[in-house]
Amino acid sequence: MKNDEKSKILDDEKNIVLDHDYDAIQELDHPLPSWWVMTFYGGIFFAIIYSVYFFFMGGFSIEKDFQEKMTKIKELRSEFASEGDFNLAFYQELLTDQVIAQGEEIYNINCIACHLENGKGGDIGPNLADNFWKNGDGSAESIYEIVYNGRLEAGMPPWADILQPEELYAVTAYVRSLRGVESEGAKGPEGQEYPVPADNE
Amino acid sequence: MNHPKQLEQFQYDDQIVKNFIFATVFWGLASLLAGVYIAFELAYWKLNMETAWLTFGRLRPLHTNAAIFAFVGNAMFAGIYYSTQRLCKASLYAPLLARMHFWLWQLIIALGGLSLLLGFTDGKEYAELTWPFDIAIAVSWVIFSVNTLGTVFIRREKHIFVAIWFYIATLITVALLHIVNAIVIPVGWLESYPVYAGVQDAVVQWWYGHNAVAFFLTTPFLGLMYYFIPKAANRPVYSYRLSIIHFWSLIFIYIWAGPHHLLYSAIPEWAQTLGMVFSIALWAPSWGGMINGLMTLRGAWDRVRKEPVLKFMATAVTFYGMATFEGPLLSIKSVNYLAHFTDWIVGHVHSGTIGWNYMLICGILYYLVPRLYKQDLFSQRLANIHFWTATIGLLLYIVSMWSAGITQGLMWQAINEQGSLTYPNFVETVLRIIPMYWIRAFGGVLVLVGFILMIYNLLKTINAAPAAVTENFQAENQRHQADHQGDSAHRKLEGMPAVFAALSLIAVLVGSIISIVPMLTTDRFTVSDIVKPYTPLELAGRDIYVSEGCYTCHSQMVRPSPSEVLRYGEHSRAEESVYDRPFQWGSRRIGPDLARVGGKYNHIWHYKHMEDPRSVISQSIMPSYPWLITEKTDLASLRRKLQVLKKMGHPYTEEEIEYAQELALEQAQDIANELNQSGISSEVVDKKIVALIAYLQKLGTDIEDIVNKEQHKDLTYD
Repeated sequence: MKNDEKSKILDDEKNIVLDHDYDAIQELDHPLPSWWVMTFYGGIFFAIIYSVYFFFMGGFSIEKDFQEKMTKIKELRSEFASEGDFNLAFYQELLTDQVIAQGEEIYNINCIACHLENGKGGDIGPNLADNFWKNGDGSAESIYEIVYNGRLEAGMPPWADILQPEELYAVTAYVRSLRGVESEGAKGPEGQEYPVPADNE
Repeated sequence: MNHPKQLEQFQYDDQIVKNFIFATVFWGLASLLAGVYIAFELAYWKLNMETAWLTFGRLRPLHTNAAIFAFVGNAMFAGIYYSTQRLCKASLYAPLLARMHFWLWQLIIALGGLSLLLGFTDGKEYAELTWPFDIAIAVSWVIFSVNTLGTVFIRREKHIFVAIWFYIATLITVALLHIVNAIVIPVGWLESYPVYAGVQDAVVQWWYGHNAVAFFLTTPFLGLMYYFIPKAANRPVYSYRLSIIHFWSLIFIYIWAGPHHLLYSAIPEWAQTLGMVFSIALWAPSWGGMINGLMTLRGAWDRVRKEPVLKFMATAVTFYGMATFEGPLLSIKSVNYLAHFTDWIVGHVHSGTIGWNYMLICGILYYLVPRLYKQDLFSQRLANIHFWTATIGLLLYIVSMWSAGITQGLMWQAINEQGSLTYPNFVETVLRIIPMYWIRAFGGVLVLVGFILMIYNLLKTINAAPAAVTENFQAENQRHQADHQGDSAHRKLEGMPAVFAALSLIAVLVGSIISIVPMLTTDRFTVSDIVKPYTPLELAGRDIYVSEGCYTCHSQMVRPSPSEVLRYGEHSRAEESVYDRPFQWGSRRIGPDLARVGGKYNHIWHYKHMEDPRSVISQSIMPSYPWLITEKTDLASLRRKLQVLKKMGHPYTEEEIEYAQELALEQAQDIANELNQSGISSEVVDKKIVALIAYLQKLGTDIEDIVNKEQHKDLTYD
């Protein structure tokens, strides 16, 4: 545990020991490793080249790059855009137990927080299983439209940009299938009473 | 000339070193405990306990500040006071000042920590402590500087060793960073608004934040490395000329790199580019330090395998090399786009703070305590176990954060062939990485357990120590010796610490001025004819947002990229932040960005969400904030706050200032009425929740007008 021992010098270092001595610490004068010198100049070289490229040659610009990418995405989206119009034939063709099950999964991730399980309704979202409707008439078409556009004033966000077109149909199918399901603690009726439509058959 | 040597007598003040070692260990334990706790909070949200001071938003600043200023800070003071005396062959310049420094620093930590838990914060990362603490920190730092530089000026050596170069750069630059970043106008005993707004605040803050890493966590520890590795390994420093070139290039280049924290943000792109290229150029200067550290161990590697002190030090330098390679990599714009706002950055930071600082500090403690107390270490075996526990813990930490960060980053930007987001639900990207949060927390536990083993080991050593005796040293005073013939210019400079300090200051000023001043001397970032200033109630809500540390999980910066725009809406513009004091762009998205949240949901949604996030987003990991519903908003201070903001250029009328409180209540009444329709008690009107809702609903609402103006401009220019 000695504190003042001079550094141990190896045989091949005897020629490069400097006469520095700080609290018994000595210093060698090894030349700079050549690979390090290359990285050092390489880094500076890159900085200069990239700066010239950026400042004087119209190099990569985040804003320009964004505009180009966004244009492409917009084209893509307009190609696949679902119009927001409900296609009953497409819906009925899609209507299988499997799709309803898929809709239930989507519901349980996105909708259950406000409308609770089995659409029994909660503090924010109305009951989706009874015959009373605040918005629309409870038909698949009107459910689809509300999911698609949302009802911001009532706290319901639009889902058109978040869910895929088929997912919108699937969750509509699931909600539509809840009609008549009775749950404990279900929320009372809100809005007008509508008869069960025949669109789910 | 062969005069008989005049030997002078002196003693080293080691008691102050011991004090700082105790503080290091004590606060180190506290910061690690806080870190482990918040790591578990992310894995298991219930640990937020619905208790204000236990929430992530308040504990995370406590953890970072404790780790940086309490743990690393005290270790720095211990190491610098110990080594400077010995490298200068001089006793401490002013022992009484050192004691003041010690107690003032501990007081700042204790009271500052308490204030963070109580929700008093400046809302700027690593600079959260409020203005009275900032003043105390500055005073404390001046005392430390006077003492260290004073010791250097009364040295008995002619030259200053490379460790001292790094200490000098540290003293000067930290003072500069801290003071410039902390300029605020107080509006209360623990409240203030910064003189910088929006873009300016962001640029100053990250100049500070980045260089706090550089000059608080790095340069002082490079200095300590240059002292303790040669001492512990009993080997000479590998290359003197490498130390010269890497020292000057490091301090000159480091200071420019701050804007790499703001890539793809709303700061000017030229500043972003400078931040990136200087970060790349910083790679080699950083590695110069690593080479000198590791190569000094040449011929001692057999001992590295056996001795815990050297194991810790060699590992620290290795992680330093890794982190300083990763840093430039993360500064490349495209890499940064993937990694920014994710856990990759969190992993990177910890490979620096745990890998470099913690490991080096533990190595130094295992070296110092036996020497200071003249008693062999209680157990080498336990120290070895500590080494392996901490190393494995750290590796688990880094690898899990890499995995979590890259996973989440890729999920955020995934766009399917129809041009929509593949993972539009933000919470889905959070749930995917929860398993990584468990692994990270477990890694953190290992790092903590290792530290506890060290505390036990050191205490056992100290308990067995013989009574302290004051040792006398003697040396010839060589300070005024003539230069040797043929000494290089740098060698001569090493005999002139004042000139050395002046040159260091110039080296750090160049980058600081060029990268910051252009932003401060224009009104482009402080004036807008479109953006509406916050109403009194919105301002009160904003202060609550800052106070709860919402920025620790939510950004307010939509980057210009398709996936961000699809997820959140229009990308953020500089103009939107002109009234943001402090700016709240954030650095990590544990929850989604909030720059466009205004108008996205209705009031009741926000009410329910703050009361219990699970009631609207079933899988949310956000803490519940029930106290916002019962605690009253501080409306009385609004008049004073508006007055201060008006002085800084926010366009409030005299009437608005005069009736700030009434205006706030009026707006609160509207919100409360709407909440009331959904069955919420009307008593909520003067509660924090209403002010916070008002603020959230304002966010992003000016963007439409800004976009219109931009399009109009385009038309007129075409």
